[in-house]
This record gives sequence, structure tokens and C-alpha cells, in this order.
Amino acid sequence: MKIKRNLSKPKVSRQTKKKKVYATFSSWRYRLVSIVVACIAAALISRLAYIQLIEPEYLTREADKRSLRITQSVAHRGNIEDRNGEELAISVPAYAIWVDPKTVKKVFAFTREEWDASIEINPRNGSEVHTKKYFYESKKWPALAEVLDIEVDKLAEIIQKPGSRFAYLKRQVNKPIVDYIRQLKLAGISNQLESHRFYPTGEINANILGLTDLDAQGIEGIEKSYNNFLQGQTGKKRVRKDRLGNVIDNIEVLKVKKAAGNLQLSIDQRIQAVAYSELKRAVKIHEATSGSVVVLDVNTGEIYAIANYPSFNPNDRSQYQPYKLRNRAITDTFEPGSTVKPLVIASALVNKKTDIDEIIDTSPGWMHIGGRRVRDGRNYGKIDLAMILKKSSNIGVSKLALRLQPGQLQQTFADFGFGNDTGIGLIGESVGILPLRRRWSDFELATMSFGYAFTTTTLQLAKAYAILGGGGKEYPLSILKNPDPGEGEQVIPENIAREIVHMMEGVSKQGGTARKAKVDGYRIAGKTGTSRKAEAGGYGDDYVSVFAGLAPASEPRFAIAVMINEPQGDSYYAGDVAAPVFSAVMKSALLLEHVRPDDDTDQRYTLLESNQ
Amino acid sequence: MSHSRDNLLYLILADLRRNFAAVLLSAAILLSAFYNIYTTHETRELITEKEQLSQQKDNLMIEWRNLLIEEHTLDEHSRIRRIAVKKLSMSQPTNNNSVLVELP
Repeated sequence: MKIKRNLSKPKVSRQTKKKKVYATFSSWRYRLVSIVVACIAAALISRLAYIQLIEPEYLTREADKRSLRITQSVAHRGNIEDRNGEELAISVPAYAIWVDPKTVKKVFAFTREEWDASIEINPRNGSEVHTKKYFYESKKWPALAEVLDIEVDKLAEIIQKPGSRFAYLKRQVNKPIVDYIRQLKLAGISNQLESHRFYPTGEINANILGLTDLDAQGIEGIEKSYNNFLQGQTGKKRVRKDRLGNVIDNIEVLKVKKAAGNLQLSIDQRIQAVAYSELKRAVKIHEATSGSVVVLDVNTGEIYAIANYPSFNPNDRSQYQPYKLRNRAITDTFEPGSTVKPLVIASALVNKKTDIDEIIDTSPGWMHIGGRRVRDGRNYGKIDLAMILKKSSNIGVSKLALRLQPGQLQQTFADFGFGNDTGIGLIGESVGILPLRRRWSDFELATMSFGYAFTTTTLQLAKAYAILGGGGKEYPLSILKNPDPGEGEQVIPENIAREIVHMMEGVSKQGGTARKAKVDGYRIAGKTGTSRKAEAGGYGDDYVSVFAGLAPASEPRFAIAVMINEPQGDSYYAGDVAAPVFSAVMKSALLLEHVRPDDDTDQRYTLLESNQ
Repeated sequence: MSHSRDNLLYLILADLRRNFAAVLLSAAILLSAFYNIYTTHETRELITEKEQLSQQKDNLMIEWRNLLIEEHTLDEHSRIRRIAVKKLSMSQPTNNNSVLVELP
């Protein structure tokens, strides 16, 4: 076909060429064509000018309406990690399911009458059709109710609320459920991206970390104290999208996305886990009401563990009870009892009221001070300072305390951090009470020397021992990993601190008050404290069992304070209640941190020395 | 008359040659206009790709966080301790059966 046409064409053109010759030039025709063409051009150009120059906004606006969108980029809350980078709190996306009741009401009828009223008659064939669906006949709503764990009636009630345009059905829902709901294709049901906070370590860290509320704001503990740091900012962008919903142009940034910071704590989760489980066991065995353990690094002031019991599972909000949430190691105060005796001796040494070789006569085992009686467990006779600590002699420390001015003893206690904040900067920290008065009776001074008449938190007690262990240097405590603690402040002379630590070694030896505080392979130094709890009108029958100590004694690395509140039963002495916890926690802390055993009498291990 | 009736094609070509600069410029304009369209299209495609990649990154991040949770639920210390002691009958080495290596 094609070839034929090609052949025939030239013939035709040749014929026409011969016939038609442009003989005349018709000027009117030329003009007409010119004018028409000019008019069309003018019309086109003016239209163009109108669109482009005079009124471009209208079309631009219409185009923008169809293509400009605002997109959100959600910044999740930062993670919290322990010192080795183990995550303790993680945020994952979750969804909130919400309903627009007005939209639902447009499509669904809730009563028979309403349903019947929605009948429309098709004019063409006269058949009756319901324009609305009957709510209770739909199978989708019960499916939704089931997957969201809500009663259908409750759902209907939420939707039927007059004038409502927004109601949450359920929050913190995970992705598979959202996908399922999307497949139901129910009118008026939408979802919204939010964040769910998850704590992999559960109850072990619950008291320190605290909680966030549903809007991802910290409401307790570290989550609250460092809320601003952990919080990110959701970014908003104006973009142009094409027909398929792909972003083709970024127009402007409305809100800069700020990535949330990850917080690294000084907590060592391995030690923390041991501390919590040992504490929990001790509290349960002795039927105590509560307890706390604090582990400090004496050389940096970092908190390696801070465990409390009772605790709760932060992933299950139905368990939530405020009293379980408290970080007792920093909020609850108690009278520290005999655990302050080493500090009294330190005070006497600092103020040169005794020297380390002095022998003090404690017989006959009791004495009267200002008309009141102070007594020991039994008559210890003439003993030296180390023996006073080993036997926890009240008479011994009282005699030393009476040589001091009240102000001097108070100053020492204040130097060790009592009555002052520890510097961790957590919300809810209590500073205890260290009464500062001019006039003290002798008896009051004596009671102070064995740990009554002032209060402290477990953390403060651990800090005081950390100062002793660190050669008299005070470092501000830190819950954040802090590789450079700076120069500590020397609060008592180094040689005195070393002497006191040496004196405290007797506690776990034969005849000491806490043989159960022993740690295999290491020399430990510590002190027990069993104090009666004050009630309205005097001291009651409940006790607080405390043990604070250091290891290894030759060059301390860790300070641990254990407090068990109100142990019941026969053994309430700190040597039986708190000391075993100390021993177990200290053992794992020393092993995990590869601290070299310093107990030279215990040579059972094989030592491979380096050739240096 | 036939000599005055020049071939139209030659006329046009001659005209174009006379205004060679203008022709060249208009060709350049046309070319750059098309190139403009082309680059815009390329840009849009790249932006779309970038957007998809960052979406993918977000999704991977979410998956990573979920995996982290799973990992930490499984490697929780007290759980490992429990399994080691009860299931595997392991115990902490005592001084008798441990070797202390001093590092230089």
C-alpha cells in the first residue's frame, strides 16, 4: 500500500504544478490573513501576560493546593545506656488509635429509628435502600473492639457523644494491630504515630530511671531530671508531592528536627543486677519493709549501682504504685547508727584529741553522761581505736566525742557530706538532717557519736565511706559516666583516712561484728550499724540494719552502703542482715572490674606475673 | 517569470544564513530549555529517591530498636545468671581454680 501511494504522489503534484501558477497577488486576502494571525497572536500573548504577570497567584494557589503537603519526621526520645553501652531504656514507635465520631455518625446509624429514617427510594426502580449502615449489624465494629480490648457498648458510647470530633480509643498500640485496623477500613478511625518507652531491665532499674507518661515526658527519676536532654524535637517540612505521593521538592523547613540525645549512666548493669537480686533476697528473708544498696567508685565518685526494694516493673503500668517508685537510696533518711563511728575517730584524729596508738579504758561497759546511761554490749576493758571499731564500742567513741567541741564533730560530719546534697542532681534527693546548734549537752554529743540525732540517706553514707576510701578526697557524685572527675577536694588528711580504713579491717575478722561481710581473696574494711527507729515519743522496736564498707582495704576501689529497713525475726543485727549483701555485691563488683586480690594470707590462686 | 520564482527552500536557507547568529541563539535557548526540563526531572527523581531512602532508614531504625529490645530482654544479667546456674550448672570460679594474670 505504502509503496503504491509513494509512486502515485509525484504524478499528482506534477499535474498541479503545471496548472496552478501564482498570477496575481491579492492584497486584501494577504491583509485579512495578516490581521487574523495578528489578532490571534495578540489574544494569545495577552492571555499569557494575564496569567503570567497580572494574576499569577490564582493558578499558583490552585497548583499548591493540589501538590503542597506538610510532612512530619518524628524524633524519638533518646535511649538511656549503662556505662558499657547496654540500653536501659529504649523508645520504639507506637500508635494511638482515635476516632472522629462525626464522621462515623454520617455513615452509621445507632438506633432502629435512625436507620429507618435513612431509607431512600430509588426513583428509577422504586427499591428502598438504606443510606446508613446499622452500627450493631456491622461485623467490623466488634472486630475493632476486640482487637483494642474495649467493649462494643463502650465504643458506641464514645462515638455517640454529641458534638465530639476527637476521642482516643487506645494508645500505645503496636504496628500489627494498626495494620489490622487499617484493613477494616472503618470510617472515622485513624491512627497517629507516637512513642512507646520500653525498659529491658524491668524492675532492676525502675527506681533510678523513673517513668515517662503517654506523651513521652519524663515524670520520675532520671527520665524527669534529664527530660530536656532526652527529648527530641519532631521536625516539620513543607514539601511538594506528585500524583503518586512521592516527594519531588523540599520547599521549606517549618520546624528543625532535633535528634534526641542518648544518655550514658555510670551504672554498671552487671553490678546493678547483682545488687538488686541480693537486696531483694535479703529483704525477703528478713521480712523487712524496704532496703537500698549503693555502690560507688571511690576514685571518681561515679555511682556503679543503686538498687532499691520494693521496686516495680515499669513496662506494666497496672503495677504502678507511688511508694514502689521511690528511689529510696536518695529520698529516705535514717539514723546511721554505729556506721559513723569511724568518722568520729577521724574527727578526733584531725582535731588532735587522740593519736592512733591510744588505749582507751571502756570498763565497766557503761557510763553516765549528763544523767543518762550509755552502755556497750559487754565490758571490753582497755582497748585501742581499731578494737573500738571492731567491737563497736559506744563508750569508746563517746569518750572521744566528749573531748571534741560539738562544732568540731559537726564540722567533720559536714565534711563527709552529711546534711548536704551529694551532687548527683536527681529529683527528689533528700539531704538528711544534720542539726547545727551552738549548745549541745554532753549526752547529745555522745548520741551523735554513735549515729543518733541526725539522719542521712544511703547514698550520703556511701559517699562518706568513699571519702575515707579515696584518701580523704571528696568527689561530687555522678550518675552519669564521667571519665574525668577532676581533682577531688581534700576534706581530711590522707594519712588519717588510710589509718581509719586500716582500723576498719577488723570488722570481718574473728571477733568482729560482721564476719559475714568477708570477701574471698580481698581484705575489706567496713562498719556495721543497727539503729532503733525513732517513732513519735521515742525509739520503738523496729530497727534499721546498715553496713557500709570498702574494698580492697589496701587500696580501696569501691564503697558500698547497704541499708535494710525494719528487718523482722530473730536476727536484726546488721552483721547478719546487711553484711551478707555487702559481701555478695562487693565480690561481684571486684571480680567484674578485675581488681587485684590483696589478701596475701589467701594464696590459693595461681598468679602469672608479668615480666616487668 | 520563472527566474523570479526562486526555490522557497533556498530562500529560507539563505535567510537563515543571513541571521545565523539569531538562529544559533534560538537553538541554544531551545536546547537549554529542554536541558532545564531534563535537570528538573532528574532533581525530582533524586529527591524522591532520597526521601525513600530516609524513609527506609527510619524503618530500619525502628527495626533496630525493636531488635535491641529483644536482645536486651534475652541478655538480661539476672536471666543469664539463672540459666548459667540452674540449666548449665555453672558456678563462679573459686580462688582454687582461677589463674590470676598480671598485665604489664
